Amino acid sequence: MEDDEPMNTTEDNNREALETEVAPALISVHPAHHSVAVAVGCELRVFDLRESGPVTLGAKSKEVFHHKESIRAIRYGAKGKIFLSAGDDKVVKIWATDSWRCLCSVATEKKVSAVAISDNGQFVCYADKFGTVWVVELDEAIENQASVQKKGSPLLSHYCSIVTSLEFSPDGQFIITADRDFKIRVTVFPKKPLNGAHEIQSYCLGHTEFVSCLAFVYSQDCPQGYLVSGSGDATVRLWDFASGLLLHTCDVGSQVGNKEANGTENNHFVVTDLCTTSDGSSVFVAVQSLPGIFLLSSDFSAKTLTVIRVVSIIEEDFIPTSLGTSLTSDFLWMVMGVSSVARVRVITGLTKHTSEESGDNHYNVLEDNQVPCGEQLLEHLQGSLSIDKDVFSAAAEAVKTSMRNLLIKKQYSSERRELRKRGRNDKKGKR
Amino acid sequence: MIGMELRDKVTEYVKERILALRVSNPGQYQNVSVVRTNLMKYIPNYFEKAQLSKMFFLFPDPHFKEKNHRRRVISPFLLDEYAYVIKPGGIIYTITDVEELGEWMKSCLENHPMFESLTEEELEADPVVKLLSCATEEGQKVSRNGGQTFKAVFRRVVLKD
Repeated sequence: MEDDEPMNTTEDNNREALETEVAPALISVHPAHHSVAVAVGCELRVFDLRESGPVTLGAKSKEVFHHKESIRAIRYGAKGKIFLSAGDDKVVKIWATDSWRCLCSVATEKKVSAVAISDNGQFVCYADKFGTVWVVELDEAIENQASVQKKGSPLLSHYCSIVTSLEFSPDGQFIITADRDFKIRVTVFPKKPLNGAHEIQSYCLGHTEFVSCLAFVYSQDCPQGYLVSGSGDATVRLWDFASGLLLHTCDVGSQVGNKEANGTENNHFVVTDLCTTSDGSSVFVAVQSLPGIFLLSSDFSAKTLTVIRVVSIIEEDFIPTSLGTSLTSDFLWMVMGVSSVARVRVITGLTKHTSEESGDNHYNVLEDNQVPCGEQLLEHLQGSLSIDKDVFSAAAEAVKTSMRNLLIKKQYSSERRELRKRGRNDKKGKR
Repeated sequence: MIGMELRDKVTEYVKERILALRVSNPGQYQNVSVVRTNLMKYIPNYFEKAQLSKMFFLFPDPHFKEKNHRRRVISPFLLDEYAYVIKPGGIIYTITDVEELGEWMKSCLENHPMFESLTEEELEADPVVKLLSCATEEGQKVSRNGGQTFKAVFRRVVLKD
């Protein structure tokens, strides 16, 4: 899509730089539903669902443990014992989820875009915006030590491409990385990852825009499972990741047109997040410009993904930026927000759906007082109970723009390209 | 045999040369072509796993500045991708007239667990090795100027646990 706009001024460049600084709110749920964590800007807010109270991070220590800049990735791992947070301040923080003490800080060279933990909690991996994935080893005794500083070793790299998502396969044999150049790489996770992960198993190629999120569907009958990916091309795809074979493409973008959506340009139906249930039967999809979520059904024998329904949340134009669910319960947690504003909503009953599209609406979008731990939880995670509608829409727009600027390659007209080339300062001497 | 080049003008030049060779040698040079692309980003888009038998990196850009080292076409990370597209037993040939780059490429290949160096006998026996320094225009220019060249030729091997 070529533009013939006037040449970029310094002001435009600064504005664009500021826009990419805006970080969408993130949510992550403890696998056994012990707690919920929300990252809003540089703040990390955690609510303990068992104690029904907010968590004060690193409370027992006098040290400051908070991130200084926007958090870009959070997740629970190692069966819920560990929590990771990382982002623009170039630090990965590793937390113990029982005491919420910061066990370890890893200083990174570049801003972090994604994090993952191996299932046994032994290895923490993080990806930076230059495309390199690093690994840190956690030893058994880490919980008993005072807060430790560690340094990562390079594991693998996507050449000059932002790694948007990082996931371990269900059996832990592979590590999957997705980038903004439409590629998904499946690499064997070796026994000694500190020496690098050199053996590439396959590539899952097929998306026509940046890949934004990855998840797995697996079941008792199909333990290795399949990979599910969401992309800026408005599709969700199902892959046999060991061979790189594309099994099915689900075009959610075309579905949005039929429902109550307010996006008019077709490149706005970017898939922003994916979440799967532990039995591998359902996939929840968040799409830009859609207030609500898609519910997809995954069929292991037919190897397909089908849209079952759209769950709309129109009364307050809630477009989730991040989704989370635990392994055990059937609550789908969603957050929408940016910088300092966040709104949390919860849906239940989604896993009880039947496969007939015309079936009863088993799902239930919970009201504020029905949410687990009610308004106390919302007040802590959101910062306040009520959010201004205008602040909301501005926030939604900011997130859309920043994602586009970050992940979609700009197309310049040939004149602008020549002008930009002339401004380069890394020219080789005449050969 | 396919050439993969980032620069438009160079790609055009190579294309013209190939077309000219096909005209002056009817029926020949049908198995040679060139494509304009960023190989370092898109190699898996062009080739399947273990598809290639040989890869040639001839007088690549040295990227002298430390901060640009990650852009070099031979790097520890990119070797993972080349190992993916080259079949076990396949060979990577590199040559440069920049000593520092020659050292760099050799050391990256030596340190990578999926590549091992060819022995002296194997290098002698391979007819391609001699051609590296004299068969290309860049190579001929280097020898005209009396420059030295640095080769590193490695075989793709299966990863040992």
